[in-house]
Amino acid sequence: MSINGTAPTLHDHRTVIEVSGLTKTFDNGRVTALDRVSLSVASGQLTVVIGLSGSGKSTLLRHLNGMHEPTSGSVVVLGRDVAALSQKELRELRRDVGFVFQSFNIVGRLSCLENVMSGALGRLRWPRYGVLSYPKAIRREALEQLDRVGLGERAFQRTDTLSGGQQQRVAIARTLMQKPRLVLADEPVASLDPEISGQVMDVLFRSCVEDDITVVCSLHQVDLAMGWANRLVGLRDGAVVLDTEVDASLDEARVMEVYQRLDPTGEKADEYEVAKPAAKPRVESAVGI
Amino acid sequence: MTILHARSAPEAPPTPPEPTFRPDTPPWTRERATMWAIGLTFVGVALYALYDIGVNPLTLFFERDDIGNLLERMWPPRIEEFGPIWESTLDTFFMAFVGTFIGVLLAVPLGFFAASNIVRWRLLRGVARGIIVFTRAIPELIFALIFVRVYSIGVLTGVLALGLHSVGMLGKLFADSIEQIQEGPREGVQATGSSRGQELTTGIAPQLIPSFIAITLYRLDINFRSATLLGLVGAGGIGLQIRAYQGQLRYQELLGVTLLIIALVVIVELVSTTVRGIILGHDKTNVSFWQKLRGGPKAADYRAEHVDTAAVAAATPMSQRRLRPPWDKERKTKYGVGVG
Repeated sequence: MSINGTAPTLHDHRTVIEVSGLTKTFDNGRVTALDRVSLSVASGQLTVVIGLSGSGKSTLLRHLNGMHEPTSGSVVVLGRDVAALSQKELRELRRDVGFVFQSFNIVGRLSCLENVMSGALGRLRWPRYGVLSYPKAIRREALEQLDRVGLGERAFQRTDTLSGGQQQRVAIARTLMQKPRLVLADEPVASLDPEISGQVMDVLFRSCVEDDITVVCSLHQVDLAMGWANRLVGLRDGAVVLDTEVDASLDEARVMEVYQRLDPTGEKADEYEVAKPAAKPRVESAVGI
Repeated sequence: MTILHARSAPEAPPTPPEPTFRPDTPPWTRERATMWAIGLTFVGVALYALYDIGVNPLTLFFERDDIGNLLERMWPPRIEEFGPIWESTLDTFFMAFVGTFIGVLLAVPLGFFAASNIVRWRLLRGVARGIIVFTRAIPELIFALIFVRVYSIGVLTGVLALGLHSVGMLGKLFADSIEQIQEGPREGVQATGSSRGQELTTGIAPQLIPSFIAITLYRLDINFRSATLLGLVGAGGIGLQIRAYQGQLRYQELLGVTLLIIALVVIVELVSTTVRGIILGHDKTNVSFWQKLRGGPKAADYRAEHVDTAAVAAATPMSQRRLRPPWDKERKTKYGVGVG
């Protein structure tokens, strides 16, 4: 399996994610976050979702592990219709679906090892508190995952004493600890500087490729995305405006178009409200968010 | 730009008026008015109350001779027999301790039931809130007067009264701090597919420990002082002794006992502050009590001790790796071994 910049081979073409006609509105339909999004992701694929802030990337990802319920349309993940699952079934799905958050969402007062071990909670039966309440095998496994993200020596340090990049690496180790079949990452490096961002994304993508995990990740770093992803999806105002394989023929200008703020006259504009294409009927409803 | 206007997609922003008069005070908003109204009402009610109950602050000045007389009769403080006095003071302290313990035991589940981010079911939450408000509304003195009838004069009466009344404050503050937790870590644990119980212990409980400890220690402090008072109505301990002295007009002994209580309150406060600092302080983990007094090593030194040796660690075979937290100073103090 290749772990360099090129795309790994797709050995398995089973579909992991099947989103069709997904629409999500907030505030009783006054704000449309997702607009008839259809997307299908095959097993082993590394998909990067790009788009301006507010274009619906997070909303899309949060539908995929049941943190949002669709207004209309269907979301099928790992063969299960997410919206139709009971609480118990949803928990079972989430065991197979790792989620890496923009704000890390690790428990600061716990040690790194405990945070990583909490990724194994889905496999364990009872509530746990403290390192010693976990079985030895789990502790060993968590140490190995910490080693993978380069924090093996900090196992017993409290996570809130770590830097941002290190905290996100702990979160990644927690996700890997789940042994997921699918990892969703929601702008995992949005709060980090470019160099640390590169390191963290490398850790995440390398581990997922090594473990043969399907990845859907939203990112702003187009260069990073072009280096690792084998598929790029662009969102604008909640609709898919770009969906392409990443290969040598992909033109970067075409990708950057997703990020362009254009007003109807073709001039560049600064205001987000102005950037909405006038042709769409729901311009008025979206003004003033 | 003309093209843009012709299509009339966005309106041009209105030109601001000429800056002739610019106020240098914040605008008179409703919030500000309310704040002023509250403040003025408070002062007004206080003044009216003084007038209504006939308290004249000048009395403090005119009656200064009486105050002087009383102080003269109290001086010098005296403790007649130290043994029994000390024993009943200890009784009072343990009464407060057990009372607080019972209070915490009852208040922790009640706090969780009353927190809106834990329990969705309004009825259950309402019942929990109801119990909390009820126990807080009834003063421990009333509880004590009731329990004295049932269990007669003794420490048990005080323990029950303190325990039940503590539930009110502890439960409310516990519930408040549960409602203030960060949702992020909780969501993070949730996303791993954990059960509700696991979410509670891993995502929520660690966030609560500092505030729960602080609240409990504060309540212990309050309960110690209340326990003294409860003795006056027959809950045992030093309070009974105080009532006896007061009845016999033995003011010197009264002052002696009072000073003893003050000393104990100060000691309780010092100990709880130190304990809280050691348990909660996260940047001075491996610093001894004395080091802390001297200023202790700085965070940079602490970081220097933990140099990144991840590569070395990864090369070590798993059989030789540490699988339980080291017994460093932080962990020892956490379990009460070798404080300082």
